[in-house]
Amino acid sequence: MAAVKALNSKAEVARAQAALAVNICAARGLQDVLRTNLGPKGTMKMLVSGTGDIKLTKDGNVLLHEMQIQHPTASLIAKVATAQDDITGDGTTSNVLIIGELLKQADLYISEGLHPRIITEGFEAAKTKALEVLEEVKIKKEMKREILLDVARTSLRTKVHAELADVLTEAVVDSVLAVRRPGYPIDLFMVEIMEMKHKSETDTTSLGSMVVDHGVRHPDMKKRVEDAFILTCNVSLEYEKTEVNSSFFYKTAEEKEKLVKAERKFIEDRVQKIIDLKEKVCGHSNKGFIVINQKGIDPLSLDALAKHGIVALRRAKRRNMERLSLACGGVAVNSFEDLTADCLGHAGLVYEYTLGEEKFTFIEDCVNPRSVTLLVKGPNKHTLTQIKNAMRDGLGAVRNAIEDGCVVPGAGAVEVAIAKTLGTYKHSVKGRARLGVQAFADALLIIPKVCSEFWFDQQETLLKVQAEHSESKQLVGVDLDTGEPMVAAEAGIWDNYCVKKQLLHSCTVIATNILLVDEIMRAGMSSLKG
Amino acid sequence: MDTRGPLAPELPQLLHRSPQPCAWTPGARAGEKNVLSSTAAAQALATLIRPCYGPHGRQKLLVTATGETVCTGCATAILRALELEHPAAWLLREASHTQAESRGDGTAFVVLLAGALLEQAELLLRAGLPRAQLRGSYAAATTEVLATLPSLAVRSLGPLEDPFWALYSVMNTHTVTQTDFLTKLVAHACWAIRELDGTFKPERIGVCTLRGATLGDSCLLPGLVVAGKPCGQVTMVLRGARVALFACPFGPASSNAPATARLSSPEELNKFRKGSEQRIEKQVSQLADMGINVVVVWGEIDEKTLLRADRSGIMVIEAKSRREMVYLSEVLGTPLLSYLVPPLVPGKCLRVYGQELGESLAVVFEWDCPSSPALTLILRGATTEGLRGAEQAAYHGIDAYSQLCQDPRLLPGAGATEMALAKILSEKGRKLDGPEGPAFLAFAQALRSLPETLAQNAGLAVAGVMAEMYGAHQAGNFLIGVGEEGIINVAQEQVWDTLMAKAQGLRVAADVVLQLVTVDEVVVAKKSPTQQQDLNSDSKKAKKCPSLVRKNSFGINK
Repeated sequence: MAAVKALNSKAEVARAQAALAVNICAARGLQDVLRTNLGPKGTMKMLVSGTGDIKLTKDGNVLLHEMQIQHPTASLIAKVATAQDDITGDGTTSNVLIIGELLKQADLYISEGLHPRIITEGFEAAKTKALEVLEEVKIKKEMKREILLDVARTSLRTKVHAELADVLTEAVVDSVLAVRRPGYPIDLFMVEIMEMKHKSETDTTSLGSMVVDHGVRHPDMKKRVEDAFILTCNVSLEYEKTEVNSSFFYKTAEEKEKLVKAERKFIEDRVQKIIDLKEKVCGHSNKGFIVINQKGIDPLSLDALAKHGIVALRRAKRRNMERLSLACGGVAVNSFEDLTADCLGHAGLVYEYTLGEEKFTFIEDCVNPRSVTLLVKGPNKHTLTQIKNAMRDGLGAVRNAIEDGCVVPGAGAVEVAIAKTLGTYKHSVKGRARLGVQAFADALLIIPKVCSEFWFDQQETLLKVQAEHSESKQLVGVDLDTGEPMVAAEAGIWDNYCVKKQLLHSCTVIATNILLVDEIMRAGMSSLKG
Repeated sequence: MDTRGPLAPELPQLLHRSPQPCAWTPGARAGEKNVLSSTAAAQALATLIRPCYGPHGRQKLLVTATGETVCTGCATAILRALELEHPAAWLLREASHTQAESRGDGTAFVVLLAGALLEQAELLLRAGLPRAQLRGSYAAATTEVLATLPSLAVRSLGPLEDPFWALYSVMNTHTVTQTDFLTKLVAHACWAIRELDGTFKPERIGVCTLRGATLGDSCLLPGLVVAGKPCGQVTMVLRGARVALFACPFGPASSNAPATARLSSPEELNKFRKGSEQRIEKQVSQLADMGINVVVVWGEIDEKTLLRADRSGIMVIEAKSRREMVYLSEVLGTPLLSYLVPPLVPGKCLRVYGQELGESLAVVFEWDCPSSPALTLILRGATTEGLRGAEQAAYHGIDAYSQLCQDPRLLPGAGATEMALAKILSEKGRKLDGPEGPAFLAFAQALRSLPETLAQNAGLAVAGVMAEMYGAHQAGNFLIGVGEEGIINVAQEQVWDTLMAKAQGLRVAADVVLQLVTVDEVVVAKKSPTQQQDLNSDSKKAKKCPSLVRKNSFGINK
């Protein structure tokens, strides 16, 4: 009888062997759920949220977020896996699979009477060795466009189907390269992902420009402006209520008329300032002038601006304002007091595009864009979300590759290599910890196994790959089209170094934690139900 | 050790993930089950739509959630009225909506084709083809179809040709009676509104329904009908109307901030009254001096100002929506003013008069016949149902014409295109080895189901007609389709479909199928509380059998 029972008769307890069994079972359950989703040939899951939104995905991170996991152990693993995603942006599914497999292998030895503590020691030793191997096999390269394309393609193919992945690859790499500034960390927020429910998914493109998701509101304003100055501002151009409670009094109709006019004067002055600036910079030339305001512009101001050939957009998003000044130059203005020509940005072409009810304004041909837009197109909402999630992972992968300055071969090649090295390393480990090393080595092989699961005989494929590896001394992975071994580097399949590193760390830690649990208790305060 | 046995199996319940315990059975089994269940859902939807496909399709009586009774054969309307439970069915519906939004036509085509494709996919999956491979080969087949489609386009609408023959078959699908007459009207309207450089703005043709008389009394009005009502005593201007548009109150201007008149004596009150009257009079006479005799106002209309306007012979119209004002301003070429000052250029038209349309009032702006910038198609009919059908058809016709202006190519209709594609695909498929071969054949089979449906709806002996048609196509005559009395030559009967709509439909249907075949598991979260109230107790039951397509909104099973 557990001690807790004496204190709280309602407590749920599982001890020792039972606790371990529960944990291992949960980990393997989670593994079973996700194993079909690994790799480029994985299948999708359809998730329907409580409000009826549909998501089609095979991204482990999304899946773990959306599935409401209540089992304590499973949610522990899920949290670690999503933490992996937060840090590196990828490797969630692999994480879950390896944890599950580590526990499965450990279970074999524990059922033969080995103490979990000894296995965890073995895991630790194996992890250190595995990290050494990872250091050895990583390939330092200058991150040229070609290799970044390979990295992005590898990452994207595990998220969406091949044709779409190829389209996205180019877009993702180009946009990261565009926002890259030597000496600064890459700010992925400078890549805006804009969605458009339109055409088909393969029309997704990367634009060296800005897209604002609304259009001009005045019928007289031009829909297309070339060679335009751009003024970004955050100044209200509409009537605002006074903060104190005030009111007007009048005696005659003229007075009333005057009051009405005076009320507008304040705003009209501001509008006039913009118009003056426009006259100054544009003069009689054909240049366009565009005002993008974060606050509102009322119809009367719009009218006045339209009369002078100024195109105005109102209620732009805050992040767009920041990015606008990066994309076209110029400064975002907060007051019109000292408005000069220096505050203006410039764009070669600005045009409006209407799509059903929605309007988009494209700002193109900027001189030195430091911010780009990925225009995601798709016929329906779930496709858009799917692409957006995949894009984020792709962007993360490219950024990781640039920041690491190195990559590791994918397609299970690294895992095979580590397992091989651990196989020889275990002989140098003294005592029973050796078994832990062996378990670790076996567990890693889950990745190449699962990749080829539904297609070929997994054991046969794995053996072929292992044989090829020890013969050729190259890093060999699984070719998922043929089921034959292939040299991952030659096929252009590259994974992120930091993802693998993080993976080895977090898997070992969490597997160790779970193995060392000897009692599960649920004795906390429950909700009102009692 | 003894506690181990009972504890472990409880886990699935502890791990509350989804209401489907079958999700825990690993690998292929759970996956297979799912594709099958989405097939069932898609099938159910397709069965529902099938009788409504084609010119001989039948109608459905819908009782919508608001209690309105609609009799329609339009797939979009039917799908909208359905309450669907299975996510696969949602996807299908969404796909058909996409088609309806972008092309306006071919919704039934999308649903039927997707249903048929999934049915074939089920067979292949049962035979053991892995999902990813099936997806790949279906994708290959789709590319093949889309590549061959343009080569089947045998006719195109010339830039100076009367579009009657091209629009006829499109409208024929949607109307019940007097297709000839209606098509003639629509074709004429499209023809007149089309600009010389070939651009066509579909919004320049308004369609308005007016109950009474018969469909044969429908006519084309060279003008624009705007919802709104004439306010003053001047209710019509029959010659040389000059129009000003105001997006502000018609009367004395008022400030945003609260303003109060502070008057201390009766004299002051009188003075104030007089003053404001003078101002109004000045403003109105300014308008009258410019020769303005029609004023459209979006905003409040002041009684006194209206009286003045009446005296100066200005017709005052209260508009119902800003959107219509903007449109009017575009058509009339006069700005929308925010102060009561006369416009520099007034909008001109021939006549302006109010007209009762059913129960509401409308104002008609009419131009001289040939140079009219906008046309309105006035549909007459005895019943709302008939009118709705005619309106639907008119919109389809206009949509089709605007597509033809972008891409004038036309495909043979009446199922001939599908048969021809099926023939090409199966010829290719037989030569391919590997999984692509069967997938091509399956795609072809799915395409063949469409002419079959047409034949079925026309009440023909399906097997015989299909055999005859198959034979003709095998002999290389790819213009043979299904008609009222058996097979017909499409070119002689003038049955055509637009290439754009067909290509888009194929793509949309294929896309949704490609997505569905890769799904191996459906995870449904708990309904959020708001929805649970709506669906009350039966939502739980429905979740357990997600393939159930619920048709509660029909009100039949209640």
